[in-house]
Amino acid sequence: MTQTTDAENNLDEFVKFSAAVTGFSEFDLWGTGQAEEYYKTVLNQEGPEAIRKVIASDPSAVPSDPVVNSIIKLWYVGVWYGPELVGRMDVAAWTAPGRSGAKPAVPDDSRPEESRSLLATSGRLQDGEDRAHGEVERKPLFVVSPDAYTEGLLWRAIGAHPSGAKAPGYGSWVNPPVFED
Amino acid sequence: MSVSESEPAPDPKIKTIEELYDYLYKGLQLEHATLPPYLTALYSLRPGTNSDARHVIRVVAVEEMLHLTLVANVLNAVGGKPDLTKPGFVPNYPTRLPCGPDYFDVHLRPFSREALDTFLKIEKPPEAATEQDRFVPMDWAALGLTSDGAPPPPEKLAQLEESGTLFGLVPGEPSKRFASIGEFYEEIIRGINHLEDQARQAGKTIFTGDPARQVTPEYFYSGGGDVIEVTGRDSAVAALTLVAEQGEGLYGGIYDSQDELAHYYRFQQLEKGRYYQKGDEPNEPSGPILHVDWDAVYPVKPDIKMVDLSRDPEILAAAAEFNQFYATFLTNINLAYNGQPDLLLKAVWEMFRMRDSMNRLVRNPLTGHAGKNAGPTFEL
Amino acid sequence: MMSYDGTDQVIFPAGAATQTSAAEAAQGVWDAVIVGGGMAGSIVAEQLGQAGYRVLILEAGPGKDMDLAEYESYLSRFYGAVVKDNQSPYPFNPNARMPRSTDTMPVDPNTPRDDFYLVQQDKYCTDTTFTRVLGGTSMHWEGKALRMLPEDFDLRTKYNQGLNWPLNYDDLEPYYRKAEAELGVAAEVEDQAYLGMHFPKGYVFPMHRMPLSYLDQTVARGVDGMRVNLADDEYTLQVRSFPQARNGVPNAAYDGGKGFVPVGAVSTSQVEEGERCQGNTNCVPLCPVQAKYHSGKTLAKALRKGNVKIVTQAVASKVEINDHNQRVAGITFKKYESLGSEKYTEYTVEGAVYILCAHAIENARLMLASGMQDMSRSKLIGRNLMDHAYLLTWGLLPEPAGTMRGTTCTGGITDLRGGRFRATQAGFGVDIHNDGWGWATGSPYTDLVELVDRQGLRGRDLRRTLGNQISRQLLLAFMIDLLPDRNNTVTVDERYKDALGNLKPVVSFKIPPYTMKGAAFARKLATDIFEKLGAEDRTTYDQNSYSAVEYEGQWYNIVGGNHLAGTHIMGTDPANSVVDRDQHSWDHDNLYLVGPGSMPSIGTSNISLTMAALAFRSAAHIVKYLRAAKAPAVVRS
Repeated sequence: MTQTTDAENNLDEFVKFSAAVTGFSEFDLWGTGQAEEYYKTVLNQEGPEAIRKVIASDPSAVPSDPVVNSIIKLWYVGVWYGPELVGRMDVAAWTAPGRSGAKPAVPDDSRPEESRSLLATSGRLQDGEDRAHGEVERKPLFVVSPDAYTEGLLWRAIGAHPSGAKAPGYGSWVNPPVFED
Repeated sequence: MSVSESEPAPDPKIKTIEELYDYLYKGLQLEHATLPPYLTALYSLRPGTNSDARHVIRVVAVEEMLHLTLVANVLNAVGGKPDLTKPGFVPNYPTRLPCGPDYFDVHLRPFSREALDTFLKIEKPPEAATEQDRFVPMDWAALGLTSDGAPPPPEKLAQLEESGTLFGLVPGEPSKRFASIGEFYEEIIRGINHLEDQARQAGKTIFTGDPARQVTPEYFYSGGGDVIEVTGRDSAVAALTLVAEQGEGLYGGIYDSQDELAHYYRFQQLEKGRYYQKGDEPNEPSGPILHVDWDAVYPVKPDIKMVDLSRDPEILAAAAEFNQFYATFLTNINLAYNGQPDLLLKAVWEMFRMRDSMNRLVRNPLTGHAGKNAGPTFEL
Repeated sequence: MMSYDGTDQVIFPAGAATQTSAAEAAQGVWDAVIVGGGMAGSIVAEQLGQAGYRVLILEAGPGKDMDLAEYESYLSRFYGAVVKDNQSPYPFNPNARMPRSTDTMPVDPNTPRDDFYLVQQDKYCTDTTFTRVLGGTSMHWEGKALRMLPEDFDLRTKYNQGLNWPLNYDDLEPYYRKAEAELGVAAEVEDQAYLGMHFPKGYVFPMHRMPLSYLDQTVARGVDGMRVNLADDEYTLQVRSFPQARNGVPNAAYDGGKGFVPVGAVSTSQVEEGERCQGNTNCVPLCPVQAKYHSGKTLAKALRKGNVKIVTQAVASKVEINDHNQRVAGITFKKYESLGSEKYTEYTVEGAVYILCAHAIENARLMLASGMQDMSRSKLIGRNLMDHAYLLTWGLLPEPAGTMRGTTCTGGITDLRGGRFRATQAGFGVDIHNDGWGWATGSPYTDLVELVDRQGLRGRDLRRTLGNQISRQLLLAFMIDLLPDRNNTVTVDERYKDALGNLKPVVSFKIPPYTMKGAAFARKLATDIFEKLGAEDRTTYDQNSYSAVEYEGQWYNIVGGNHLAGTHIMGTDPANSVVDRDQHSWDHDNLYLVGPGSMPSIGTSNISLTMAALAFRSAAHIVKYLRAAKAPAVVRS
């Protein structure tokens, strides 16, 4: 029982810290249903020491540990952008939903390397592969799961809904946007 | 259900227009009462799982909204005024619904075998064949509502009825109740026939409502049946018949008159693990296989109340906000049923907002209720 | 065969995608063999099936029934995809590859590479795509369903540009209405009767117009009434709603008061979904609820008839021609075993008539791979490849405008689609993109990285800034006319083959100056519109990009529209065209080429509605052809 409690405590602390850096309440974070998956993602990708260090840090510190940036982006869009991808607008562009043809504002030479393998394995993970739960090598870029995408907080922040999910209803788009916060 | 269109009923229970209004209000309350349990089960399903169950429950929930609208159309057609905002309109769960000889409890529960069993009971085709079988004596003691089995005193009775604690009582005869929801609607149809026959003899009609208050198909459609505009006896009977048969099937078949699979059989697909298709007999679906993952469900605390949330202030606030959304939703629908039918489109927006709010609630673990998550309380 | 009535029109017969084996198909006697189960193929199959003919469809895509589970697997794959391009919902299929925007780059013939399908060797590369799954590109199309303007059919006569069609607006008008019914178009006649487009008296569209988004309304406040001078004429602009093949509110006055019943999601059981658009803002690459038309809705109807069959995982590899009479003797196809295996078996199927409905690039590729250019009198197979040239411009509005809500695009400016200026420069339509700058910049994810990583925003500050910034985005996409040009081509080259050994399409595509003159004008117009709206112009173009085009000293990026057309254009005689006005091959009596490849120009309307109208028109001619060629086979129903 104590072991679980430790794990639960760590998870709780992770959510508390995440609430401070994302600007969403702990309720909202739990409400995504992703808390556990995200905690495990960070744990497996960066290790227990890194996550302990992050949770103990000052959430308002800027510039922060790049892992903090990864955590914020994880909650906002459900994508794990490893710390080495900090500031990579081109990577962000290729992973965004919506039309993704040639983008005048994004250099062509930033097109995802090995795009074929990225595309081929996108979505459903390969059998037996579970990046949130370890047993695979570190990976700088992946969508944690299909639900992680639809649970991205970014969409709530902009008074909209994820492209392709949580539709607001026929004709609701005639109204001015409403920002919850 | 035995639908009698103009045969004079032996002894209709509804003898005045006020009694008809009262029955129809109870019809609204009854149709609505199934919505919170269906919605709770629907949104307890984990995303990315249980697609079949999700679609089945969603379609039934949407059709319950259709039923609510059809009953409102009938009430408006006979000059009544729907009121979905009366105190007690939303039941305090668990509530009780009639199902043959027994009452059964309807809980707010996550999707589970028990929940599915309840849903099947709600929509079960009645077995009543004879006139006497249509009513069942009330056993108040068995429900634990009185000690001697006699009906409670009028004041308490009124309170019980108004609060939606139990459905299907015969108005004015608290020692009896309807054997099924179908029989309840049958009684309304008989009442309409009786009152309309009477009115016609005097050169009048009971269909005196303002046609502008009718919700017409352009304001409502989203799968599963069409709205019927009620302008007279035939359309009133058609609307009420659709309400009854969409639950349980038409004349013992699995489809209703609009060729929609009846709710009972929709739910039964989940139990049987197979879809029905055209030509199938009841209880023997032969369509594509479907899958239910009983474990891919958030552990929502059954019949959750605001008091259960006292140790979780953020959840409490969100649950209160949800109830506020729900109240707004009912208020808008009520306005839609009271002369502003276009507000139904907006009610869909509210419904989607509630969906998102519910999704957040059911994923939040509760403090002090190990292994249980929050959920919508539907306490208005 | 079970009988299905009106309410069951979305039931896809369970097992239909797999129950006809390739061997059976090869032994069968077919009245019509159709290559491609997309929009054109489905419409023709449904029409011929209805006339009682035995029809076989060969589909290159994976062999799964179109049911809700399969559709949701597309959605889930899109959700989980790292790169969310147009093809991200669909499984990678080495045996029937698709072009992907991420592949867009020139290929050096001396450096072997295999991570692409569409072979391009020029500096300029188009990122245009098409989809090879059951339902074809209609699975990811946006759903805009504009008619072509009457003047679009007579460009050569009127403006001395492009080519005339061998048909005019009035010839096609009844078929436009059929297409609008089949696709379920939402629009109002009062909005669409402009620049000469006319409708029979009393006509209404099946459904009412999609409401204009708050963003459209914001733009309209600045644009409505704006005057533009162009080639001595003055034009007044207004924001107008686009007709869309998307379920909305049915018009009770449709069909003489009978009304219209929207067609919802297709599945093998009754699912009751998609009867109305919910505003998922994801028309491309996939409508989550199937409120948008996709040709599975027509295909399901066709397959239910019993006399229409489909073989999936069947890639047509050769059109067999009888050397003596030039008639098609059969279609050879490769039936592959699975997506994970390159094993295949080859079969040849025979029919009384053959109809290629595999889209502009695949139709041309197949014919060229079959050596049919040698038999072509016009030598135009694969020539005159067209696509709309898109110029993107983007700005930041002064106030939040609710960007990222609605369908992908509800409104735009259509006043410059036609006019006398077309004698010297291309017309265009303007889309107001409800999905913000995404197409141009990769927003909103790029905004997130900018604010979190570069500006160091945290917490509430981050949340508020994101909301404020993204909700003010305005992207105007100019869809510019691109005329037929013999040198824009699809060819094949023995050096480039796919996993099954089929030749890949080699595309060479340049943006002509006529189009670029329109683009340059569009860029200036965007500046004026942004100024009117008080929006900060954020447009930038990259001259190092494969999409870069120089015009009069300025660089622009011209991106593809996925509106591929023109590789087997129709015309008045065998010397100037590949097919006649009925899409009947001039050179092979029992061959029809049905699809956008037949279009001699594309004007400024998305091609699908016109393609669908042409498919209905040709289907009627194919019925006549078959009637003359043989008595229909007796079909049990």
